Amino acid sequence: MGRNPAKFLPLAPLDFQVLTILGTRDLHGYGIVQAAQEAFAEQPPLDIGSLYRIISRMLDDRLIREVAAPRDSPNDRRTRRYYSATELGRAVVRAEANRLRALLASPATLSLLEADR
Amino acid sequence: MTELSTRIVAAVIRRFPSPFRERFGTEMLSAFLDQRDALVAEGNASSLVLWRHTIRTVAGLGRALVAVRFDQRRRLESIDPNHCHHERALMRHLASDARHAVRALRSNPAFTVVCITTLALGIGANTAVFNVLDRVILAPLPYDQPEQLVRLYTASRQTPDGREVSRGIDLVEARDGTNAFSSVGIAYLYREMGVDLIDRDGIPHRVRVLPISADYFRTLRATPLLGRTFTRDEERPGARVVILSHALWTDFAGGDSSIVGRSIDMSGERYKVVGVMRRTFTDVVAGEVAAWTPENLQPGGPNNQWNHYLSAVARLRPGVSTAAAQAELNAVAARMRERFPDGPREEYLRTVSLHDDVVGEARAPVYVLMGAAGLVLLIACVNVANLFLARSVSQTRDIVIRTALGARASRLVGLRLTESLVVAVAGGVLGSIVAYWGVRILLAMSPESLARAEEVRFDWRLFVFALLATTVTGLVFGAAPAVRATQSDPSDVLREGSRGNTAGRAARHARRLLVASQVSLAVVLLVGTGILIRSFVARQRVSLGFDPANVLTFELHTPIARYGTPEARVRVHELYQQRLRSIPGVARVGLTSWLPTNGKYHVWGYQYVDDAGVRQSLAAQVRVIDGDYLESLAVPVVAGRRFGPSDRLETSDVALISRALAKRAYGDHDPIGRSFRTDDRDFQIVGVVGDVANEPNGAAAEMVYLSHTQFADNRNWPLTYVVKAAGAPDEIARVARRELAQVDRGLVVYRPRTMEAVLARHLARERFTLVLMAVFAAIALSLAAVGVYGVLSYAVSQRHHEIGVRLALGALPGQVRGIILREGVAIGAIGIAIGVAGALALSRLLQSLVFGTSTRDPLVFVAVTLVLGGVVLAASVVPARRATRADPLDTLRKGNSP
Repeated sequence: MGRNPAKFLPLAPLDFQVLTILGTRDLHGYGIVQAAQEAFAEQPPLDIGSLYRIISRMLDDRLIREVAAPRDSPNDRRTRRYYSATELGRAVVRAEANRLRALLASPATLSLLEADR
Repeated sequence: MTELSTRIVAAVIRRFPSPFRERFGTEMLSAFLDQRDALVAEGNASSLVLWRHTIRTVAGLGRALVAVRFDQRRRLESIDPNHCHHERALMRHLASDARHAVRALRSNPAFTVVCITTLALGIGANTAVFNVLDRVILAPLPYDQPEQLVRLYTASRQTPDGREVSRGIDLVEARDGTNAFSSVGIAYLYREMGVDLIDRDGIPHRVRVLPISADYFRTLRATPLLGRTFTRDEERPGARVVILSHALWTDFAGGDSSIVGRSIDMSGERYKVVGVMRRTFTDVVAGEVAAWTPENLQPGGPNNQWNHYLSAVARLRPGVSTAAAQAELNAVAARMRERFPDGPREEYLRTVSLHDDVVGEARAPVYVLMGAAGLVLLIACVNVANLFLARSVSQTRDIVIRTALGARASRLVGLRLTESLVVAVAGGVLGSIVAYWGVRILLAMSPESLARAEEVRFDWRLFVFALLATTVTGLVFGAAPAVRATQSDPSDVLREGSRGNTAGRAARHARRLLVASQVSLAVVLLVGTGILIRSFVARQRVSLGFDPANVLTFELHTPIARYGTPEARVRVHELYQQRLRSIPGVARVGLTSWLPTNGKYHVWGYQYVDDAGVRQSLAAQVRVIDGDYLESLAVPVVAGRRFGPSDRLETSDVALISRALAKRAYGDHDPIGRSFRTDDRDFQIVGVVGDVANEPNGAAAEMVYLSHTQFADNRNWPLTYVVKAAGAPDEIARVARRELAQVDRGLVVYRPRTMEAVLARHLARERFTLVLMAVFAAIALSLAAVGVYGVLSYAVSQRHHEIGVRLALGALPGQVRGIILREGVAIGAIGIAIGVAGALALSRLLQSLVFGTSTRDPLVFVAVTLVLGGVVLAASVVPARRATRADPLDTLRKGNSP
């Protein structure tokens, strides 16, 4: 590996969603959409087109990789490939989360949120 | 449904670039199906939800598609910087070509201006004319399923093409007693009906009213905006209901929708408003109508076996052919003959496609104009081709040298192509401006002479057509010589020097041929115009039998509510005539029920006893006149007397007849004192008057004149005033209005116009066609002159050296001039000869437009030959003179260099 996670920052919101989800478990395309809906209900919905564009890019960037389907996966004629975040991917999403946290914890942001309330 | 949405999504997925699609295509589709299954499992399976899901997915896929393509390109570039090199280089070349082309064109402004102007004229003229053609003739009628609509006309065995008005009884039988038509709409179009409406300022206005049957709007598939249309119950006398047009509703009722159900005052009678039509409704048969009232279709009264007065539009049932409809109409005719044995025996109803009927007479002139515009476009193309050809020859050396120095041939050809493209686009832009104004001018010139002209709008499709035609020509002729030049052997061209290379010689021949063809096309257009001018002059020279100079005409309608008795009507016209006569500048005042040249009107039976004592009957047209009508129009009294103050309602009935009627009925015998019978009354002939043009082409009719002071009891005659003025009558209309207000504030001076304007209206279409043809011919002539001039000027500049040598060797200037002039004359002679042959072949097409002259009028052909000969000669003189100004010393000093 040896690549610097900071190179990928900041992550686009949808990239962040996908990578976060694939960092916790292995999922196929629709599974990601479903998980994103549950985990990030307030966020703009993830559509299939955007999802596969992101998957394609992240595969190329080695942020995620394809993994074998779990045993319990339904056995019909539909193609379902499962994806999982790589070490680099996990590092990137962690770095992004840290970046966001730092951003939110900065006094300037806090005063802004304070003023909103 | 699920099947369809899957297919849609799959189709969108197929649009992704192949690497992406192969990698994720089936997977994306699976995800979509999984998502949909989940929706179904949640119990959200309504088709609305599923479709929304599909649409969202497709939208997302669309966005991703664009993004993926963009990603791919960026990635490829980052991997291989040379990727897209070709595209970029092409763009760079195009931009540089365009810059180069503009620079080259600007350095030769005369060439550029001539090219662009030529194209603009060609494109503009065509676009404008095609536009009118498209809208007027090709466009369908503004009704639903217009192909089902037909007009019903009365024809007879003698006149199977007749388009006469019909009896009410026939039309009602065609409506109720046949299966061929889904509906039949009947209207009283025979005469324009009007009513006086008082506006909100208390000023009376006359508006046009069309009496119609209940099914009229249904036949045209027009529905009212407000209220309803008429019912069959209302097809009776005294049904005081009215439907307003959208325009009248907004003008007089202020667009108030509560008007429906209320009563309005029309010519002093109360009419209940039952409906308002939509703004979009246009009546192509009746034209502009302000309001509709029900036509009385009850048997009896005017609706008898003799009276022909109604018109009809019918809608064929789907699948019914006109032949089947005709068979039913023939059966109607047979039934009517049985039912009314004393009626006409030879008549029947026939159908004419409504579209053909409406477009009918406008077709011929528009086709002729289209042909003329096409010729102008052809000449314009030839001119541009010619100019580019000339330029390409002068650029051959340039191209050859560049090629020799290593320029790529494709680049050089591309450069020429770009140049012609730039010229074509500029010509197109200018042409579209010409076309835009052309259409407006066409409309302004022809408000009434072209059917449906009010619908004409500017149409970009036609502009694109003309632009394409010129661009293709420009490209072909701009690029072809360049291509050839790049293929020629550089050493050949360079050795040959400034002139005389084979490519140049061939091009010169081609140019001469092009100019000759231009001249011949101009001949065709000029001959056409000449024939139309001759016809127009013949029309105007027609003997009318009356003098239209300084005559003002206007209609005056007396509402029956206030002028219910013949005495009242006679009285008001007498009063008003007296007032008019007292206006300074008014010489004579008279009235008639129908103006001359306005065509057939009130054809009544004329029953008389001939010399052998046999009762005879023929058809004559009846005009009711009053005052100094005959004197106002200078119609001579040939025998007997005019009407006088002694001819009153209570005195015995007298009449005047026209000379044509006298001759037809009584031969050479004196008709004065004889009696005839018309409309169940006996009249004694007291005078014979001169024949007057009844049709615009000067044709007279057999005519009976009755005196209004005596015949006012027959009906409430709508009358037209004929006022002869000492000078120009324009001012009199205003004074006439003021005087009328003194007599009755509620009466209207309706449609004031001079008698000359009445005549001009009949000639409007001819004038319109003629003016346009003249414009086209003028363009053609000037383009031909430019062509000849260009070709000879170029020849002179190319032969500069040769001429210099000739002069140095002692040739006289006159001889040198002769060489150039001969070339011009040769081109002109060939062109004129071909053109005359073409015109002889084509002028037949004008047949239907021409009056009183031959389409092969030798005078026209001779005149055109002379004009074009003169123009060619004039265009040759300048280059020829320039040739002799070549200074031999100068030439020889320069040697062979260009």
